[in-house]
Amino acid sequence: MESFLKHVPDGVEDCLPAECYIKKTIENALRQTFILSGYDEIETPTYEYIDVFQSGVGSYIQESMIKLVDKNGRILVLRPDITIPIARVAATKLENKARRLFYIQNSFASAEPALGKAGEFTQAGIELIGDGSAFADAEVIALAIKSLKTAGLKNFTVDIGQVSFFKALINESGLTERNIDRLRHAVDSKDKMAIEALSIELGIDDELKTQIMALPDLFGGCEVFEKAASLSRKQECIKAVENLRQVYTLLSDYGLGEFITVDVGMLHDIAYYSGIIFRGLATGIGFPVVSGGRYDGLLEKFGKAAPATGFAMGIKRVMIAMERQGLLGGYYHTNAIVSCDLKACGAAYSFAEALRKQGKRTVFVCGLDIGSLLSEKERLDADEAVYFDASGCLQTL
Amino acid sequence: MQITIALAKGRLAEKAMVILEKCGIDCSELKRDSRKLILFDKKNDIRFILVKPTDVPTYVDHGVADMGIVGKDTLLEADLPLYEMVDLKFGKCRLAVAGYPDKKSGSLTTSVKRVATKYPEIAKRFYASKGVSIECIKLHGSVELGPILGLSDVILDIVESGRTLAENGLVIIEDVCDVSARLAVNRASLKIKAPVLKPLIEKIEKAVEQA
Repeated sequence: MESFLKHVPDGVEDCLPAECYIKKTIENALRQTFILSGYDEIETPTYEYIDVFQSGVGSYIQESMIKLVDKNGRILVLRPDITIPIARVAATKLENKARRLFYIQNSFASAEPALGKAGEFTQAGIELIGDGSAFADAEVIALAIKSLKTAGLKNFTVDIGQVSFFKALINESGLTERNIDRLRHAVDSKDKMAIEALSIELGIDDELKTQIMALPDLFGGCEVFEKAASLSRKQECIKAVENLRQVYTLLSDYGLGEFITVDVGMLHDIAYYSGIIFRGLATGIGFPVVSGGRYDGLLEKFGKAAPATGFAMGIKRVMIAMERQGLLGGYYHTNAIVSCDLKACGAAYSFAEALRKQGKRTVFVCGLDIGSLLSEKERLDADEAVYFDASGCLQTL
Repeated sequence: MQITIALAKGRLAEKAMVILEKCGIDCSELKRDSRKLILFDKKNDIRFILVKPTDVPTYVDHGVADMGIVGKDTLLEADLPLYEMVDLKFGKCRLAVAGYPDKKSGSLTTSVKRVATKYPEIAKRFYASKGVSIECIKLHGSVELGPILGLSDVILDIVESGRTLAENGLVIIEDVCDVSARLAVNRASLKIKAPVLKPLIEKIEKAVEQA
């Protein structure tokens, strides 16, 4: 039997100091950004009952979650997501008013690990609960852009869509949920061949077919709004385009227009999302670094209906994109290393503590000779080395 | 803005080059017999990689290639979230289930259908959608041997002319889907490199129409 003594399981990894330094620096900067924007930090349990993630809106398929069994035989899962637990908390434990919440926590997945989204991955995100307006959508997207900038990422775009447009188009089609999902998948993949084939198979009328066929090409800048608006006279479709245009205009007013692209054909996860959806995309990585949107139906599942919107950022993915853009770096700066003859440990320790009190990162090692001390200074790239001899005399090297 | 295109080595790449040349792309370096892994059209700032067909979706998914040209069968098997934007209309064939015309599933030792295939993911999804349980046997070639040697009840494979099947006494039992070469595009690239990719994709669409 092969021993796994020296191995870690598939999907998880150690975060070694060089990476950990950068990861924590980014997380700390994000935490400050969220706090300054009026968001309150929250933590939710690492594992929860499977029911939380498997009833209706926003369900996770069972094979994508890592499961445990508690002592009563109930199935628990390591949280695959943090928005759903926060919706549970907001609906069951927080008073009914607008809440701005943020988290920096790990999520877990058992599915085929994608780049930067292995079995365990850190997410930083926010949820804005209780505000259904376009202003809330714009606030969340603006904060997503600010967060990517705060992390240090460049060359990115936030791609915005609106799922209500598609939902309104097909809501009177009489198609089954499964067939709607096949159609959604074809549109989301910009696969016009599949839309064509499905239209024939499902007997979709020409008007609806033309409308759906137009969706994959409805991406780009603000010129998309006119094209989308001319596509359907349905009230909800017009409302969806207006909502998208309003959010776009607000973000332009905030000076963030250069970071925004629009895609009316973006339709991932429409069972979960109810309005504006968006994804952060960056040069250097083929996968979204941020994913978010409006999910007005989720809280109701936990007994108290409320509109909500938010986003989650994959810290590892942002770091991968930054590394490939040549933007990743930095490490601890050591100010001093202090050592001493073994007879002078007390004096040397007090000295090291005094430096630390001044905010200087100080390494203290008893009993190095001067030669070893100098080589340690070099290895740590410390500003200075201090040595106490047997009589307690201080020597700066 | 440089873009990278992944091509599936072999016949598909040759046919893809015909289309790409119609779009004003210089494929001369690609046509030269070379051991180089990365080839260029310097004038248009395009990089090409020639890779195994089954690897094309992977390169595009990770975004190290912005787009790729590969068969629908390979895309279905990989099942990755790519934009599948143009049917290039060459490399046409179909995926089908084949076996002996009159052989009933007479095995007493198994109640599930045994399917030999190069496409286990497609087979699992195809039969799952029909509510049929199967046992998948992954092979890498000469799949027709499956039913002949009794390894499997049926095969799920690419059928072009049907000659291999006929010569071995096998017939098509049911069609799975039509296959042709597709232009697959990375989701992030399409948005980030839109100024270059959007016009190129339009040109490719036109070139296909004219062909």
